[in-house]
Parts: sequence; C-alpha cells; structure tokens
Amino acid sequence: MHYPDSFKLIILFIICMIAAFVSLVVGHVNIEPREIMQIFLSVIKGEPMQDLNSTIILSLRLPRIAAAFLIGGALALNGSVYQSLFRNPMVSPSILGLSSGAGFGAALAITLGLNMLLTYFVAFAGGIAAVMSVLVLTRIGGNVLQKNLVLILAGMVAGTFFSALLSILKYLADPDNTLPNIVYWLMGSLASVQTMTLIPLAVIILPSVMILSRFGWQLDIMSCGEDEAKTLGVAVQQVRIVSIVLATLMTSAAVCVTGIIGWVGLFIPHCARFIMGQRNSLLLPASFLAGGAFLILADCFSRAIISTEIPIGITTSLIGAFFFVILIIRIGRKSQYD
Amino acid sequence: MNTRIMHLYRWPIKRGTFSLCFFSLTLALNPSVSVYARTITDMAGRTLSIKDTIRRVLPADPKSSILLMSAADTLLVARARIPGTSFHTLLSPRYLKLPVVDSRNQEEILAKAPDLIIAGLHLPTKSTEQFDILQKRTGVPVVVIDLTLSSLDSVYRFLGYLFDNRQLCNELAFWLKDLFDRIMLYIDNASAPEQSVYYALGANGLMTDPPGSIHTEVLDMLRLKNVASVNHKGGGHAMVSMEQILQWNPQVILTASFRGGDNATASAFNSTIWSGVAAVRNRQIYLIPAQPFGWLDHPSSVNRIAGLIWLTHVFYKRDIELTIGDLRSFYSRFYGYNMDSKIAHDLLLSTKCMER
Repeated sequence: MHYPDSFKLIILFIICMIAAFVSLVVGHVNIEPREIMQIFLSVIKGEPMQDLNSTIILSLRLPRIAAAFLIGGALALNGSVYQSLFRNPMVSPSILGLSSGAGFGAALAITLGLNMLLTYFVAFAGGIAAVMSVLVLTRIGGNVLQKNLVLILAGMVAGTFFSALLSILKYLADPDNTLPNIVYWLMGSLASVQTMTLIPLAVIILPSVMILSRFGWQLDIMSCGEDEAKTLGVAVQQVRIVSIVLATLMTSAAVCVTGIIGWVGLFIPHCARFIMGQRNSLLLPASFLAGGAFLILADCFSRAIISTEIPIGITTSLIGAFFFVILIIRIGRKSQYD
Repeated sequence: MNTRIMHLYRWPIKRGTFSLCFFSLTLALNPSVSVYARTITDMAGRTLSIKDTIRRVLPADPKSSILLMSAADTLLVARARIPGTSFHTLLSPRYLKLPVVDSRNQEEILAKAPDLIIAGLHLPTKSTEQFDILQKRTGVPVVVIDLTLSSLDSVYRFLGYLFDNRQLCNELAFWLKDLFDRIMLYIDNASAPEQSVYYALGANGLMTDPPGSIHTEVLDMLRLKNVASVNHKGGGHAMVSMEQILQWNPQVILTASFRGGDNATASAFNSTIWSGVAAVRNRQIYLIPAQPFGWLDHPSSVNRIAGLIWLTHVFYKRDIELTIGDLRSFYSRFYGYNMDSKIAHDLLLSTKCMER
C-alpha cells in the first residue's frame, strides 16, 4: 500500500511520542501513568513538588528522553547526510574520525580528573579536532576537496591516530578507577544527562537539523555526480563544507554528552530509506525522527531491563545488528522483484 | 699421520667438549636441577619448587607490591607500577626509592633476576593460568597469595614461611589478627548501625560496587548495609542509574578520591537531583582518604586495613583515640611511616565533607 510522504512523517512523529510515553512509564521505580499525568498537571499549575516520583519524572526520565531524542536524531541525520554526501551506504558518523577524536578527548579529561562539564567540553573539542584535521589533510593533499575518497582516507588516518592515542591513555590508566571510567564512557550512556545539559544540546542540534534538512535537494542532485550538480547550479563545495561542519558540530555535541553510541548513524538511515525512499528532502527529517525514537527506546531498555545500567552503546549495537540483518534480507527480496 | 687417523684422534676430544657444553647448557636452562630444591604449595594450591634461600622478591601486581613492602622489606627488589598514580605521601621514602617494574614486560622481570615472583589474587579463583605461563616463560617461580581481607593475617604467616623471615611477618600477622579480633569483638557488642551506605565511584558517582564484591570487603566485614543490591558478578564496578540511588535513598555516601580529586563528592553536592538523597540532605558524605593508597579499595590490598579502622569509628562510634592509635600503628608497621597524632586526627576529620 502506498502512503503519502507527509503521512509517513506524521506516523514517525507519533511513534516518537509513543516511545517517549513508554520511556516515561518504564523504570526501576514503578510510577503509574495517572500519577505522571498529575505531575505534569502540577507543573502546569506551578505547584511546588519535592516528592521522589516527581523528581524521577521531571529531573531524570524527562531530560533523558529529550536528550535521547536529540542525540539519536542527530546521529541518524548525520549518517544520512554522510551517506548521501559520500555516495556510500556503509558510511556512518565515525567515518571522519569524530568518534575516535571525541573518545580520546573524553579519556584525556577522565585521566586528568576533570569534572563532568570539562569532560563534555574536551570530548567535544576532540571530535571537532579530529574532523578539522581530516579537512586540513584533505586540503594539503592537493586541493582535492571534491574527491570523496581522499576525505574518507584522511578520516581513516585521523581515526587510527586518535584511537592509538586513546589506547595509550587506556594502557597507562589506573585499572581500578580511571580505566573503568574510560571504558564505560566509550560504551555510551545517558546517565549523566541533566536538565541543564539539554540547553547546549538543543542550541547546537536543532538549528543544525533545520539547516541540513533544507539541503535535501542539493544532496539529491549531488548524489547523481558532482559535475552534473555543478551544471545544475549547486554550489557543491559550499554544500559539502557546510554539511560536514554542521553534521560534525551536532554529532560532537551528542557524543560528548553520551559517549560513543554505535550503529544508530548507520542503521537508522537505512531504515528511513526503506520507509521514505531515496529523496533526501524527506529522508533527512525521517532519519531524525526515527533516530530519536530508536534511541529513546534503547535508553529505556538500557536503564530498566536489569538491576545495573547497560551501556547504551551495547544495546544499540545488539538491536542494530539484529535488525540490520532483517533489513538486508528485505531489501534483497525487494530488489529481486523490482 | 693420515687424515683418517687424525679424525679418529680428534673425535673423542670433540665429543668431550660437546658433552661438557651440553651439560652446562642443561644446568643453565634448568636451574631446578640443583638450585630450586624446596617444594612448596602456594595459597592457590599450586605446587612449585623454589630456592632454599630467597634473596630477591618481585611483585607481579600493584596489590601484592603494597603487601610486600612490609612483608618482604629488604628482599623486595622492585615495586610494581600503580597506573595513574604518580606520587604518594605518608609512605616511607625507602619504598619510593625502589625501582618500578612493569610485570607485563618479561625482559624487565628477568633483568631484576628475582628468586621469586609474588602474585596477589582474590581466592578462590577460576584460573591461575596467567601465572603458570609467566612462570614457564621467565623460569622464575610465581607464588600466588590470597588478598581476601579476612585472610590477610594468614598471608603474612605464609610469607614468613616462604621467606624464612618469620619474626617480621609473624609480628605483622599477629598485629592483623589482633586487630580483626578487637574490631569484631567491638562490633559484636556495639549496636548495629541503622544507616545504609552507598559507595559512589566515578566522575558522576554512578559507578558502585555491590555487597559481596571484592571492592566492598571492608563494608561487608563491618556488616554495613550497602544499598547497591545489584546483580553484578563480573568483579568490576557496576553502573547504576540515578533513579536507583533515589529509590535506595542511602543515609551515608562514601566517595572514592578519584585521582586525588573529589569529583563524585562535588557531583553529589552540586546537583539538584542528588539533593533528593538523604545522605546529601543530611551532609553524611565522606571522602575516602587515598594516601598513600585507598583506605577502602584501590587497590584491594593491605591498604584496606586503614578503612576498616576508620569505618569502625564512623559507623560504630569506636573511640577516636583508639582509632588514631590503630591507624598510627598500621602506618608505621605497613608503610614504614611514623604518622604523628595530629596528622591522623586531621586525616580523620578531613573525611567528612561538610559543605561545598
């Protein structure tokens, strides 16, 4: 059955809402939906609340859900943009060395014993530094910015370099305290998210999402070939640079708060493409919504399923790998009949 | 003399030289033939041959390194690298002067020519294979000792037998046994503390160790109510969520000094969410001292005795003068550091975090 595209986007939005509601209800402390409604009503009325349940809903679950939505969306959108830009379906946000750079930054901050805020900042700077070094490397390589291959190779170099630096820190780290901190950070978690964390996250991610979503048709044309795009009046260089910079900014912001969350940037764009088709103007917002919904549910699973908190990177990778296999089979069958 | 006769003449000489070389080589490669004459069984039940007289001892890990500072004393040829820690105060300079050896580097081990390597484990353990391999590759016997808190006195007795240094080690073993007995007798007669405890680790305080973990043996020994009732059998630290901590609502929080800093404490004091926890509201947060080594853990060796003495005072209100006396005695015997009463007093006072 064929549904109109706007209808599909609305359905995705509703799925996000359902995921958020499920995530609000599920947790170690059992809070009834009716009580959650009362808490929200009290907030609207401006009544002061000090009890355990309202703290859990307003200060813990709600910020985590909002952060999961923004971060999942940012990672998935980044994946979609990169996949279109590099015309390669196996590309994910880590392709330009961002994850390794952010990982090294965070490990450095943890090793130096910096507080959470500075750790966020150093991880953010690490991610940006890695991608900047890739762009500089590509520039040095004979002004061949239009060549995607050079960009990807430079990304591999930066990724390997920062991974090696990260390994040095892990090797030298105190195995009782610093090393578990680094390892847990690398596996990703939304446990540290607080209401205040959401403000910088939203300030960086939401405008980037809006601007990138408007690049849909340019990316569509560019995916046919750069020369064709230039002939049709697309400023290829600018679109590429702005896309990379914005995608990097929002992914660094996401990764510095949560640590490294794998597979969302690779798996969600393919799901979105399966639902929406290849047109980037629809694919990009769909990726954002699907990524958001997926991470909200993954985080809910991570914090509620067993007595300890499962690092979210493990959850996303396990679910991602399982569904990716199903997706590959379905895409294979679909293309067989096409 | 024709060539054939010359060959016949030379052959016995060649064979003799060869046999001599072979014999020497056998001796060199297999020192157990004459030197490793004493057979012992280590604390993990492994049987191995060691030298009659032990003169050079090397620790395989930071935990046994801390323990051997007092037990092996002059026999210790190096200390293990304690990653992430660059300086130690309240420790005898003679221990700090010892060269540092990373036991992962087997050449470095051989360069120190130890008679014995001591490896610390929390027994019972699933496997001692890594030490069997180390022993095979270096040719140096690796003796496994048990680092379980309640067995520390028997470890010192075992080391006394191993090094034939019985007086020193037996004194330490006796001191530990006496301390255990006194503390257990005291807590048996004291009223059980009502407060529940959360052991906060990591930069955000969301890493912890449940009861039964090797990291919380001090809390378990003192029968304290550790709130982190999570199923975590891996042996490492467990991640928990803020929601669980609010639900557990601990009355006391112990925070590990992270890299000499106090990030978990700062997180607990500065965050509005943590203010929902009883321990934070009532300012019942303690920063665990970490000099020269952690009092509660990090690493889990004999350093935890200081934590045992300290927490008996905190939770069971044991007399402060007795506590200071035991702490001073511990530092002097196990770290070779003569701590004056004022430092001990200040150290005890500094653990309670009043305001931030």
